[in-house]
Amino acid sequence: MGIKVIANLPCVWGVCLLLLLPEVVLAAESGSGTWSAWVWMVLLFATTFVIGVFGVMAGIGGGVLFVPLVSGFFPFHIDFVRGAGLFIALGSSLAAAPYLLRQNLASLRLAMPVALIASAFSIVGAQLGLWISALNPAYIQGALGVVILGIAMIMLRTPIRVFPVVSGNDPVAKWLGLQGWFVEETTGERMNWTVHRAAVGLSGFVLVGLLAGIFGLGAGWANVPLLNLVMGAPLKIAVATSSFSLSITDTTAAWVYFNRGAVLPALVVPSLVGVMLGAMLGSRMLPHVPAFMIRRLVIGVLMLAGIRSVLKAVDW
Amino acid sequence: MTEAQPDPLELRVDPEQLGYAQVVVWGNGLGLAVMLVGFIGYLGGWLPAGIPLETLLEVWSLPLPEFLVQTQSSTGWGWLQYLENGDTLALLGIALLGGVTLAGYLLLFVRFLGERKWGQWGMVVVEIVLVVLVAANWLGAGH
Repeated sequence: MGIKVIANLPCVWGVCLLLLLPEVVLAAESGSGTWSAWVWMVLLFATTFVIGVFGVMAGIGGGVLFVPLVSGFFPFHIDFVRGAGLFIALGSSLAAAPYLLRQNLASLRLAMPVALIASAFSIVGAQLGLWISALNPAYIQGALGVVILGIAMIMLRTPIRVFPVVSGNDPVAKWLGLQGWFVEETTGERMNWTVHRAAVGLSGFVLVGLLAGIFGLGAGWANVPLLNLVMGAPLKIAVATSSFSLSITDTTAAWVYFNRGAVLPALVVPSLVGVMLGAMLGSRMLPHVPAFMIRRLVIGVLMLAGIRSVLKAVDW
Repeated sequence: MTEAQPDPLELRVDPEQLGYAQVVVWGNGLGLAVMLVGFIGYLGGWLPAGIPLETLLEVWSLPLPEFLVQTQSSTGWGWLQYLENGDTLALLGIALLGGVTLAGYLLLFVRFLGERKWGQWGMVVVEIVLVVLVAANWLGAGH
């Protein structure tokens, strides 16, 4: 009974947030400077809390929801939103990393080459994103909308494989030592794993890094399909290694935004705290809610946010 | 692919992975603590503000170059000289979060060097160089 009430709380809060949004925006726009700033930050905290809950339950982290929603519906310039988005992905990943590493679900060996490639190209992406934004922020806003709609389609259509069949004689995987084990909780068995098509899979992280840097997105939506479907890592390893590797991947792009002055504590702190608290609640609710429905709901929200980004870009 | 009833000794996680996890615990805790202390001090008015809240409302929708001019904010590491401000202290906490990966990789640098795992050591070296260059504003700098 209790857990059902708790499980429904984010949905109730989400609906309340939507109903109250016009009133709050009006209050924020008509109030004094300090009061309005407070209102925006409280609203940001509440929004990111809900993002944290649903991000965890949909298995995509918070960054990919944060950037399109906050840049679409809040008054902050998109440069600050992207800077905050990277630190939110980074902070959420750091919070999850110790548990995932100690349980051997996240693999350091697998994360290192993945993160190296993605982090190098996220620097290029961050430079490119800030350069395009300086030309005209609408270019970034519109492109973000298109990318988010693409991500929603990928999530909608991509199958997953819990334990893919892997040939086990990939030379790149052998050279990099991309193998390991984890304990399957349901059976208590030790499951050994390795990967294949490592060169193809790793080259995919060039694009992942570029997109993460340009748009300030965490890259869980792309990491998991690449690790699971292309390289053949078991789903648990793919999800956990993706969650952990974001802390490395996003570090370099985050520093580009930080050094350019595009990181505002007033955006980062309420958002990071909101996403972290939401993710804590979301992870506890996970066994009690239908993940399939949540995933569909998040895909719907992503589509709305993508359309809103495109419309904002054309000033409509 | 599976082995029933594994020997507990075989279930030991690589020591470098456990060491990295511990560095993340310390670094993340320190970064979050500094960030929250600075930001609460800033919001509560107990610490001076680099950019007061009423000003922030007017500038957070501006393009970055205009924001920097209007708030006279510095880029790179110039903010370090204003650590008495609550919002700048929060920025230090955020920077510490950005430094956790570097701390973890420095540990891996030593471990892999000691174990002569040259492939992994090489990747660690390149990642450290990338993070240091970009954090020091030598790579990715621009105006």
